[in-house]
Amino acid sequence: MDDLSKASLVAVSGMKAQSERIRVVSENIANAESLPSTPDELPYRRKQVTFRNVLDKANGANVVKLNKIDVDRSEFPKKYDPQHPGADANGYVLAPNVNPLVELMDMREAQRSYEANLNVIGVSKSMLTHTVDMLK
Amino acid sequence: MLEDLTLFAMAQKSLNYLARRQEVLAENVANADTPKYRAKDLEPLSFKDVLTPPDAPIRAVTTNPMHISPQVEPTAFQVLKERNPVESKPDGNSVQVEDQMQKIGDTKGKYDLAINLFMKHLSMLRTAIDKGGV
Repeated sequence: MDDLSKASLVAVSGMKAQSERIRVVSENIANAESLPSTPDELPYRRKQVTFRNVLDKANGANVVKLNKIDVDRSEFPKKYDPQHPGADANGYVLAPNVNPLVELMDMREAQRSYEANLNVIGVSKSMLTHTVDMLK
Repeated sequence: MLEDLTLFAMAQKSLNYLARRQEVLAENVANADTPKYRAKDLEPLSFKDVLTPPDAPIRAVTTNPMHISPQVEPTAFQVLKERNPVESKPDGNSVQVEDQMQKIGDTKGKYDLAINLFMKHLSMLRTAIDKGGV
């Protein structure tokens, strides 16, 4: 495989990783209010993705892969709501450890990286097209 | 055939170099959020590299048919990791997307230049071969 096609391949792997990240972010945002329904149940735990650089042996290019999706082990914030079915004896409900602002920033970063990769594909493709045009 | 002419050989070499560089830069952009990833780049192509023919790769001498020699050729251009990153993220990643995009644009510009030089030279040769005139 030629270097320019490999460049596109690497960029595609980056785009795949970033879109997976956006999926996890949307899961977190959608579940930002998933409270427990009984006092001993736990609320939704925020999920996190990490990336790693691996060699794709078939193509000889270093691509991006996703590590296992991990959970955020930080503490759950407490909300005072005695009427809630999930409230404990003191009237507190455990809320998910999702901070919408953090998720939003994560989403922005993923979007920016995705666009950068898209740009790389565009440039590589036009370089390749230019080369093929030499035949004309 | 065409490679015997210096200008074609130079254009070819620089096209190879730029295509490989594009791959390395794409890897940097793709890994913009990978923890502990250090940005990479190719060693700049020097004028001397272009002029001197590449050294033949060093191989183990095979004096017996049972001897094996690796089939993989070492890569022609050396990949360097950024040694003193200007700034890096808390997770140890040193890729700056803006920087990389600038390098990618630069690579594309040089690639197009090499192709245009190649074509121009070819058309000059063609003029020499042709009847000329119109």
